[in-house]
Amino acid sequence: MNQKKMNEFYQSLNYSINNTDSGTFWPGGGGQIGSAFIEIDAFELHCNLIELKKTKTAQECINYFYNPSVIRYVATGNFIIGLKFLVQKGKITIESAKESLDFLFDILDAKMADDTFCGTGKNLWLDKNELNKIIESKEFIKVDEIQQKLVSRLIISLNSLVWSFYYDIYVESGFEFHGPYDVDFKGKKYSLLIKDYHNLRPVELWDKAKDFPLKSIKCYLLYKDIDIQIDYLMHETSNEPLRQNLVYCAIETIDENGKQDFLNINDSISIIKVIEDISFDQVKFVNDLEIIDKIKMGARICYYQLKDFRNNIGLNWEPSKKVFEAIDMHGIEKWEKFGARAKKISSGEANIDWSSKYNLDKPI
Amino acid sequence: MEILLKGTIASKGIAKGKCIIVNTLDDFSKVNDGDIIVVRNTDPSYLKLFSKISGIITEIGGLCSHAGIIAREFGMPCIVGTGNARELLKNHDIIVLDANKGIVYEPKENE
Repeated sequence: MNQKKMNEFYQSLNYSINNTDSGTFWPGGGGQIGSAFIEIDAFELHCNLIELKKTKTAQECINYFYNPSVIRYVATGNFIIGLKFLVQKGKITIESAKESLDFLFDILDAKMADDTFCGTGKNLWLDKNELNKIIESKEFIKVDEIQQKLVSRLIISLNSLVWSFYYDIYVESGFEFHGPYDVDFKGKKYSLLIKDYHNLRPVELWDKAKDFPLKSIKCYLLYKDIDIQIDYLMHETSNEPLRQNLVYCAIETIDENGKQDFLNINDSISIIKVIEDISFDQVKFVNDLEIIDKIKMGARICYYQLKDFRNNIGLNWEPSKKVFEAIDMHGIEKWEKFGARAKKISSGEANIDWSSKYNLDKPI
Repeated sequence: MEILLKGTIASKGIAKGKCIIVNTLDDFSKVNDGDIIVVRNTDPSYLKLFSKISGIITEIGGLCSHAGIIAREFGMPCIVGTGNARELLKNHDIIVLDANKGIVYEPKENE
């Protein structure tokens, strides 16, 4: 990856993180949870990527990750900082660290239609042909005010379900928001936003996930006269409320057995209620966990991000025993301190320059 | 007009309603249709409240906080990062949340 691309990465990251400016629900930030096992995680991924690069091109690896944001979240979660620690401790060379990071970003680049790091405020995963297929094949319906409200309620409930299963720090394991794409539909121009809730049944992580009957829900949303932006970490912002600018939508479901269907938004209230109940119960369940168990589940969710990748190269996705031992070694007091700190993060505190933090050439 | 509070605009709009301070899940039962909730920050367990409230005021968080994202999707007025809203606002008082200006004030008699 050349310097120009890396500069785009730093800029996008700065904008995205400084735009977050928010405390986390439980039990600490991703960096805090990862702090116990960051080197273990980064070293494993580093070795896997170096090995993979010997036999595969970046293009051949794009399906090892379902969605592009998994790569972005993993890179800025444990991987880059972990590589810096490994280099500093002499466990790997700076050259090999750059080689594995470059390969990971090359895969991301190959996966995206344009704008690898969402620097223009768009997450452009799909190309023109894929978009044309969507416009032609999905059952779009024109929405009135009542249906706009139902779509909003469905989206909010789905967001909450994902947040409750993946914490608020590994959400890309459950959804990918992409677009806005400029499209023509029935002779008019629209902004297409796709909300792909691609893993709503992480049964490997939570028993509660078995209660949800659908594997995934994809919302194809056509908006008019609105400026929507999506950044590196999939934060979505808009100059107007989204709901009242929604003109058409198509909602596609896939059940646990892989059966595809379209959801009539007028019939969505029953599924919304199921989602609301599961989210509420799941949040309560997580809130009631001991802090050490919340952290250990955080580690499992963190590793679950790369489930597809690890399975594709013949590995088990679960964290090793070493990861849980490292979490225990941190001690309860430290975790409690992290949790309290994460809840205190306030406005403006996150406004720092992240480029040196994520630059392999700069010291930790 | 006495401004009671200022914050960052997360979702534009104006709402007038009863101010309900929500600290825990136990407070959910105190929230009625049209109320404006005042919270430290929101999380997914607040989902059941969103379809009945008319506005959100949070103490922490920015544009992309949970409350901000939800409020924009619903088209509901929301200000975030107000600091100590739960201390400054009184439970059950009628307030106006003007999220076009990022302020909260006490309404005039005829407002």
